[in-house]
Amino acid sequence: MALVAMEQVVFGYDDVPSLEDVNLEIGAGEFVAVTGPNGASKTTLLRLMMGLLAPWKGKISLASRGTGGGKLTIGYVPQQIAAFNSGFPSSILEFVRSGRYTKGSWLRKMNARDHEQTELALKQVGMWHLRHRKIGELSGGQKQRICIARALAMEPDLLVLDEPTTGMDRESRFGFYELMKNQTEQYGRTVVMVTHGLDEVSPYLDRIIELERKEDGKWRCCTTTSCRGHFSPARS
Amino acid sequence: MEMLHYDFMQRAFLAGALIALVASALGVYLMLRRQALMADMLSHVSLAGIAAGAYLHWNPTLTGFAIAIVGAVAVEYVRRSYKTYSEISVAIIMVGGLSSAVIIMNLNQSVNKSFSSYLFGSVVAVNRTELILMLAVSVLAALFFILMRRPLYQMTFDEDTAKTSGLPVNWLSLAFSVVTGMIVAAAMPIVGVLLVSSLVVLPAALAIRLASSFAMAIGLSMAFGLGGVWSGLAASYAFSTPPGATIALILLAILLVGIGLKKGALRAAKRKNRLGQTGAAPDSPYEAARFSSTARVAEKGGVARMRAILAKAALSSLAVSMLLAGCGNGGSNDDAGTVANGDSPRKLQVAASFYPMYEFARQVAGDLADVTLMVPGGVEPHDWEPTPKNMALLSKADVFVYNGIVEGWAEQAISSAGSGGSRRRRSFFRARARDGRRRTGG
Repeated sequence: MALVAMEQVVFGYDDVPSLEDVNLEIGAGEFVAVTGPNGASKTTLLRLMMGLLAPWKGKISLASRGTGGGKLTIGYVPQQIAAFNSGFPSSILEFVRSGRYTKGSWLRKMNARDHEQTELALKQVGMWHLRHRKIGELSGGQKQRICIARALAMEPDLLVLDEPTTGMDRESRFGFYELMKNQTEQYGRTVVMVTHGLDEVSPYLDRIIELERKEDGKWRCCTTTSCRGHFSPARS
Repeated sequence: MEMLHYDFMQRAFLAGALIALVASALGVYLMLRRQALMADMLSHVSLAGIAAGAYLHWNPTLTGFAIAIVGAVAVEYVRRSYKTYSEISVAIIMVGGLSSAVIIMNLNQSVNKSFSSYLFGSVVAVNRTELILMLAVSVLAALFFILMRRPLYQMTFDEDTAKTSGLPVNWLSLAFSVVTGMIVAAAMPIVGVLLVSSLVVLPAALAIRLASSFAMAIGLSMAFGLGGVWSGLAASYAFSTPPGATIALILLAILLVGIGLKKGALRAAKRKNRLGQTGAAPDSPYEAARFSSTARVAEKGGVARMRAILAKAALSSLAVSMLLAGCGNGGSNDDAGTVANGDSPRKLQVAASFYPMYEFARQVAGDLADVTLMVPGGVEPHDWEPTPKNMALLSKADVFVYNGIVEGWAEQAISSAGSGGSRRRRSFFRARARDGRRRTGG
């Protein structure tokens, strides 16, 4: 069953449609990249998917239950520069642990599993040794890592990442792709990621969603390419 | 602790503590949500409510309270349409509130008489209604902050990720705004409309600089707020300065000292490093900062980081405020001399508001009473505000002689000074009867 499905979706800002005729389906456990030139409404597509924006027309359905049967959990990592609240007085540990807050009641006590998942997430992004630092003191790449860690700590059914590899060095990028692939394979999580580095990531992907201009040069639509098996990294 | 013998001072300390605690916790959230000026704006808007209340002969405290909440809700909606510039909503609502306040005040000239007590606060004249209001607001706000601490943390960091993780962010944000309006309205009698943001913003501004975790930021902010308000009250009692402004100045001093100490500590740490302190080599970030899909949770490990510098800075600023509070007690002893004691027959203690009232009382009483003037010569009795010393005088006096039209502050001062305390029977003489006032007023 598809986790996310969009049918004939139209959306735009002010009165000009910027996305039109969008049809796509993302199944549970897929690793999908969204790509396209600057201004192709990639972020908008993600926001529509998660229900942060409502479409003008068309239908968007998001599964209400996750793979485990519980309420669908979305771990969202926004584009870093736009969203990170640098002056926020918080330790990294506190910040990543806040990913656990949505599990169960707002008032429950943090249990062993919460601490475990927090630690695991911090280790997965290689930030465990810095966990007592203030989040405002971190570099751009480190901020990106702890945002990813917070999303991982949620044990999400759907991970949505908006250009997560901006500012990462080459080695880190490959480590990150490996980690995401592992998330889909080991836990059956779905990963949707906006990226420009298609050449590097495509060997790890299941599918690519590409936003491109239509012939009339006005509107953009969506094509999906399956990568698994017959996609060659040299395609670009 | 002589000042604590007075009912009005006890009330001031209690009210001040309640509001300081919730207002400074609120400040942390407001600052991080880029709404630091919201408190300032809401207090200006609630002036419109106070003016309307006075004009319609309703309780101005309650109408001001209601309008502050309405203003907070309005901000919430304006903010949604100017998402990236949330300070614009502040300007828009403030213009609306302040301009209607001025026009309503102008409709009824007699209204603006007692406005200085709203503008600059009169914590020593807090009456029972206001105290109950403050108590209710602080209990409600405390519950909100405690029960909602996790959702508030998530929403304050980033609304989008909070929304996608399933929080009802719109409702939470609205509730937060309503709580903000309530706290601001309840804080106004303490420092006044013009200085409300001192109570909300200053403790939070320092706490955010010093704290290494969110819980610590809230805790520090509350400690600074409480220390500032209490030492401000004590200093205002000792030096006979207006309480609202004294509190604001002390909060500012705490902020400056705190930032200075933090800077000093950082510089000292830097110098230590330069002197070739080897110590333990830092973890190599390059080695450790790797993505790992095979990471495992260990049983125990890692290093605990010392936060001694921050703790020290916090302690010293608290100590400064305690010191100031101590000053207050020491300085107030000379006050005890105003009550006649010993074996000579006790003279009647008379307080008079401004000079003509003083002269009148002196002529009537002759040498049978001690008459004290409250409003010093050359000061406009309209705009004058009683300091804690004056309130002490009023609360000790057997008789208070005042005009009743000119002194906007008198009624509140009497009700605040007159309840409880020494249990002596007191009389309040008004130079003119009520119906007389009406005739001259028309």
